Amino acid sequence: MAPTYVTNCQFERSNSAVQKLNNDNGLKSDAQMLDRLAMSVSATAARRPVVALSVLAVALVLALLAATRLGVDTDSSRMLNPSLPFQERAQAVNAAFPAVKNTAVVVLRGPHADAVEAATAALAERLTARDEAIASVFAPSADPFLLSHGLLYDDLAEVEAQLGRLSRASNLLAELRENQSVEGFLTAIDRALELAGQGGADAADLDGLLLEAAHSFDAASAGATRPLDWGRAVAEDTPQRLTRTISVLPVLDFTRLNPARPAIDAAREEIATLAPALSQLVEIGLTGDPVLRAEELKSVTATLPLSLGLSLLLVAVILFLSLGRVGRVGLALSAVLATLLLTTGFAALAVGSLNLISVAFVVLMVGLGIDFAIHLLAHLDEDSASGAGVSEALRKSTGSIGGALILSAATTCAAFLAFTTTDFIGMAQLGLIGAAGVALALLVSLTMIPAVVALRPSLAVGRGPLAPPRLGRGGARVGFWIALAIGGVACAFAPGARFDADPMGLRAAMAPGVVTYGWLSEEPTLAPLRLSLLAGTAEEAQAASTAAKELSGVRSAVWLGDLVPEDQLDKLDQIDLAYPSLQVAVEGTAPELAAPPEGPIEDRLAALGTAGGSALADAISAWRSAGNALSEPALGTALFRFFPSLIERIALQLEAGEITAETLPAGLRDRFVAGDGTLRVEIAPEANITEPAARGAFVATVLTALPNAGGPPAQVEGAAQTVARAMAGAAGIALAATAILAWAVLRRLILVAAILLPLALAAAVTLAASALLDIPFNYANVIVLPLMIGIGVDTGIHLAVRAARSDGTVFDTSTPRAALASALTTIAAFGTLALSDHRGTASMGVMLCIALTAGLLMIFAITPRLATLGRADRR
Amino acid sequence: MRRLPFITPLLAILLLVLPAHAADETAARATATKLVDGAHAALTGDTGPAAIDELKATIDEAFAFDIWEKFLLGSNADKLTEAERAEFRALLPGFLADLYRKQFGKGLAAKPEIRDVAPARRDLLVRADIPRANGKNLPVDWRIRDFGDRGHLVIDVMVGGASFLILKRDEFTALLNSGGPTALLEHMRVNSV
Repeated sequence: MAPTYVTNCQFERSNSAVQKLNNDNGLKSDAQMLDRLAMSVSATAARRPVVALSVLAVALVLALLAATRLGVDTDSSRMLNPSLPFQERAQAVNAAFPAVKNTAVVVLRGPHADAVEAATAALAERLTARDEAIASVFAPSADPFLLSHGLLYDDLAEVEAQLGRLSRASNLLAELRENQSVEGFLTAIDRALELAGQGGADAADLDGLLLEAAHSFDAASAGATRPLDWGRAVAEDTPQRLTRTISVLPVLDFTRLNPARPAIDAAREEIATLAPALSQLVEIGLTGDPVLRAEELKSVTATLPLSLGLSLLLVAVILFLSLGRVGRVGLALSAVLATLLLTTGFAALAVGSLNLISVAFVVLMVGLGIDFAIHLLAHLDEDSASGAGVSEALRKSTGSIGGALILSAATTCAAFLAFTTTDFIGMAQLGLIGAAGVALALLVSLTMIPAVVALRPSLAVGRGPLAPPRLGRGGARVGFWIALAIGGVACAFAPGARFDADPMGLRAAMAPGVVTYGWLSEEPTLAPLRLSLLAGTAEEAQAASTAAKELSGVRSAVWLGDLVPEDQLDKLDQIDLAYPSLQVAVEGTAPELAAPPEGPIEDRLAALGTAGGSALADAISAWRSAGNALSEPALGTALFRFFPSLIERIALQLEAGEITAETLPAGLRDRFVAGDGTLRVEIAPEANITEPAARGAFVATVLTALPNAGGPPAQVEGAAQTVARAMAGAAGIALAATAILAWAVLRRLILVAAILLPLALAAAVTLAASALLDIPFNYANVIVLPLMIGIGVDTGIHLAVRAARSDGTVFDTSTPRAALASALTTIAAFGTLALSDHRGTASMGVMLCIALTAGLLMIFAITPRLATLGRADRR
Repeated sequence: MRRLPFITPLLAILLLVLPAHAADETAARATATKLVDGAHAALTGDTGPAAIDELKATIDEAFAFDIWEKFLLGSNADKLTEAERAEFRALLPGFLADLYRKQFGKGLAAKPEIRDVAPARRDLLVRADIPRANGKNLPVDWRIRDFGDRGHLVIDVMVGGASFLILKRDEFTALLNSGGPTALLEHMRVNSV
């Protein structure tokens, strides 16, 4: 039979002692009532320890079963109230155009234009074949319709210039087509030079080709293969690095945690198995919302084992230094684990699916759950050391700090519940789970610890060397004023803190999807952050597009009508005009207009006096004389490797006809007109709006003129404002609720101030640090504010109440040691998150260390002194 | 027999289209033949003013100058004032006659031999070879468009695959960019017959 150390008689006696103690120190009967309540609960558990632990075990099993149903939603856009205007607009766009959000994007880029185009076409074809995982593929640069009609999207002057260049090169191209060897290449170039010399062609037209050929000959001299870049050779103004995209619409498998996973895997497989000859010349990356979310989940968990191992080690060491014995450390950790499991079960039943913020309830539960256990165990040791037996120590401890434990739990719950009133669903969910978790942590501490101590009395005793430094009276006074000064200065910088709602700011900077997203952001024409506006009619869409185009900071505004090019008849006339020449290039025979000249071609190339001529002359000479040069057939293959693609592209251009909205490729059209006829206007920014200031200006400008525009940039901006409002409002409610509860229980204004003032100053220091260190608050690290409030209120109450009861000698009691151990445990547990690759998680670790350190120092410096002042005043 | 109702209209369309296409080819060939004959006579006989007038008349009759004007100026058209455009228009026939004379007049050993007619999008290419002194042929194509009531007219001439229109448009663009309309019109005045 389990020993029963607490009897009813002893309990009554203990109650009287508590009442006397409280009355002596001026605390009102409400606090005594809470003390009695705590003592009653723990006494019941201690009287029936096996029953208490069995009930807890059953509850844990049930919680474990429930916890298996808990999911995680990494979509940060769902962390805000869906009825907010910017959320509603974004949802409307996503509902009408799901592909805009759910598309994965393969990005291909490189300096070799032909290789990029060839890789894009090859990959698009292979991805299209993966129809088990991929619903549709759209590669604008490889789409036959756009290849054929693409010229019509250029302005008329560019069409003229481009077709003119090709027309002038038509004989050269025809001759090259007929003899695809080094000899054929040089002969054709020689004839073109001769014709240019006779005034029949412009030598400057050839310079691009000569320069590109020089690169291939140079590589061949070194024994390497460098295919000639025909795209760059015949086109002017080809960017130094060409970037192409392939949109991949996944077949979504909702039985998976990540429904787009099969498509992402298929795309990665196809990228990995692309011909090495192509992939060596092209950088290929995969990004897009589903990819980024999958990677985010992976990066959050990647360093978790390391962090967890390090955390457990540090926590165990700190607990040992505080509690003094391994058994007591195990008991405290068990209490935390039990709390964590029960809270997880509650979360599964209450919310079903966690988000990026509420998933951090684990942090809260360790930080707050350990708090109650440490205070109770520390006090047990203190009472045991004063000569009390285990049963007496249990009674005295729960009678002495039980009220403070319940009050701190109640105020923390109130603080968390304050967040449930906001539009910030992520934090509201965390508030609900956190409040329940704190209540559960208190219950576990008041039942499990007494029950286990009742069974193993030796666990009541143990004390480690960890204690806050003792300051003399003068030192404490100086510390008090320094803390106030630091807090005052921090208040000046605190308004500089901001919330960055851009989900990209959370993700691992080196994650492949994030790096690839950066490639897109570098290209103004491909930048992924855009606003959308839905229109019911073509007139509305056109009017919105026209209005948007006139706004400063808007690079382009496109609707379906804009995809039908202007001046088509004039451009088609130009194609008509160039047709016979281009036909010669594609399938004709080059007339022999100039006889091949005598002597080496290098002389005539050098005589041109152009950069390309000189470069190719030198390169040919070097190749001819190099010992380990690439063989002539191999060089011929390199020169002509991508030549057929050029001819194929020219041939497609000969088929261009008038474009109408109906003839547009589905992959393009479906991005701008929904199945129900709703039209989308896409508004792209001029600046790189990954920069917060540029994003804010762009969104503000567009929304002022077109209030119905929505989409990711507007969501990010709207979220920042909503979260800032929510956090300020909730913090205000939390502080007010804490003040009211503390007043209701303690009935002394100075004690309430002793609890709240350090907390407010620590919050100011945390905000100032965020501003000064440029670590903005984000969806991950914003958790530090409620955590600081929770732990700060707990510690403040314990210290204030203890200081009030202990005649100003609070640092002689176990409470400061318990508070220090509690805070250090939380810092140790989650400071290691700073090691994470995931920027959100890492910033959570850093900010948590700052916030908890600031909170602890402010409370130690201010609370005891204010609490003592209050008692002195009364006297 | 069931398919007959569908085949009948198709056959009817074919019967209508094929003769029209053949008629187009015949008309285009006739335009080119007339131009070749007229120009050859003017360029190989007496080289005095009468021959130039004969060449100009042949060119006037065969060429669609409005199309030449449109393509030669292209996107540069708005760089010319109305008065400059009017002068350009007036100079164009003489300029083209001079161009034709320079291109086909020197070293013309024999009259171009028309080979065939091929479609080129919405136009027709009348293809010919000019026998050269070196024994090889120089390919010449006349691009001819059907202007309805105005008949079939030449809108471009290609020698060895190079388009007159494109070559001259590039030349005109360079002149406009360097010296403006004044330089262009001066160039046309100097190079006109």
